[in-house]
Amino acid sequence: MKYLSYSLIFIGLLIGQISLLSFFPGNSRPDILLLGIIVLGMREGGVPAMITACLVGFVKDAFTTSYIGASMLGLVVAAFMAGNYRHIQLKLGTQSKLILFALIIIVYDFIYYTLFQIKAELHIFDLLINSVLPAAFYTLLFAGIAHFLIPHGLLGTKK
Amino acid sequence: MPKELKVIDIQYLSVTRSEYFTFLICLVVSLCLIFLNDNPQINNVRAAVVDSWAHTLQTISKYRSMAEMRDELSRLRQRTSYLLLENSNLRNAALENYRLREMLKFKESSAYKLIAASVIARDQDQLTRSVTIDAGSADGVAKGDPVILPGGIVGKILRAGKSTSIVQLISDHSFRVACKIQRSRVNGIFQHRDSRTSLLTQVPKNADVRVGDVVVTSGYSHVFPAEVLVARVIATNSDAPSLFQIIEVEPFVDITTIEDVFIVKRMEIKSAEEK
Repeated sequence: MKYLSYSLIFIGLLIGQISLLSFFPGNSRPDILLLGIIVLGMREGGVPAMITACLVGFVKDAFTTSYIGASMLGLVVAAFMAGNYRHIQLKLGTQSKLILFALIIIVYDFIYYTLFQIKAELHIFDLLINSVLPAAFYTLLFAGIAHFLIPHGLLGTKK
Repeated sequence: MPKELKVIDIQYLSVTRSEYFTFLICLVVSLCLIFLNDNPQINNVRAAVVDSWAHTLQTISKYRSMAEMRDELSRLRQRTSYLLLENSNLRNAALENYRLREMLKFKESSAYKLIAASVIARDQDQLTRSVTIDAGSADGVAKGDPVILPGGIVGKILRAGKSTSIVQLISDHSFRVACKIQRSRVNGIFQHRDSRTSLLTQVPKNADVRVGDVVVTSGYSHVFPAEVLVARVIATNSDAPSLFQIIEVEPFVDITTIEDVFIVKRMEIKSAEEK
């Protein structure tokens, strides 16, 4: 039942990421799939998160002009990192969790945009300033908003 | 030391063998896909995945349109005058009629075979820019087909599924097209720079380029037919320490508002140019 719920949630997140968020104005948009993977990793562990990351990453990549496997690779690394922190996240404060989220999001964006940089022939510094950091900030902001809006928080540990 | 930092003990950061094993497998699969990116079988799977989502995306597109219409209706209801509402509807109809007539006229006057399609999804990342359209290989669309509007080029087909296709837009960072200045016939390469402007690169410093010049496709790319409108020159700079000028151009087509597009059949390009 739990895995069915997660499947439905990720189908919803995929639809949201591919169809709904893409019509938002501006260049940046939050990566809700990445947030889903991090939350899954921290709640259920690395293995289910990495398998889910592979599947949703492939579908997400199919809709972009980047390399297929680029999002998948980033999401798998993010899932692995989130799975690592599963054991300690229950004992962490909000600020420490925020730092963990930020770290994982930056690592994912760095991997994704670095792979795209090879294709688009961009400078790595420009990429960091103009793409990685704004995208990471936007995703983190969305994570913060979602955390406060969801009754028990993103990780289900909010009191 | 804050209480929360005490619990970050290295003993908790233990990773099980199954996690390492899964990570390794997933990593290998991802890297294999990246290195096999141009493999036709991978592209077929990719097209099938996009196709499998086509129905969902079309449904969402319809619901979104319905939601937009509902918003529009509630906004109009606030107006007190029925005549004002009717007038507004008539104007909308007239504009739509004009737009459709222009598109029909363009389709009939074009020397190429054109396939009409509507945008059903957009990918608007920092660097990647693409749209998904509701025409695929079943409609005759193939990878590499140019996508245009009466105003100019929009992009090219990156992947064609059975009933949907992904269009790489001219605002995508990896999009390039061979162009020339219509007036002076100077050649260059069009590429996107940021959200507002694009560049015409590889133009020598002594080339005759002026602000306001029209940039058209050169036809050297074998993808786009020659003389299709691309952009207008908005600034030139010959002072940069380089062999080439920095030419800023503004595309004719506003990519952010496109709803309907035409796909130019590549097979027809050759025969039309021969004519």
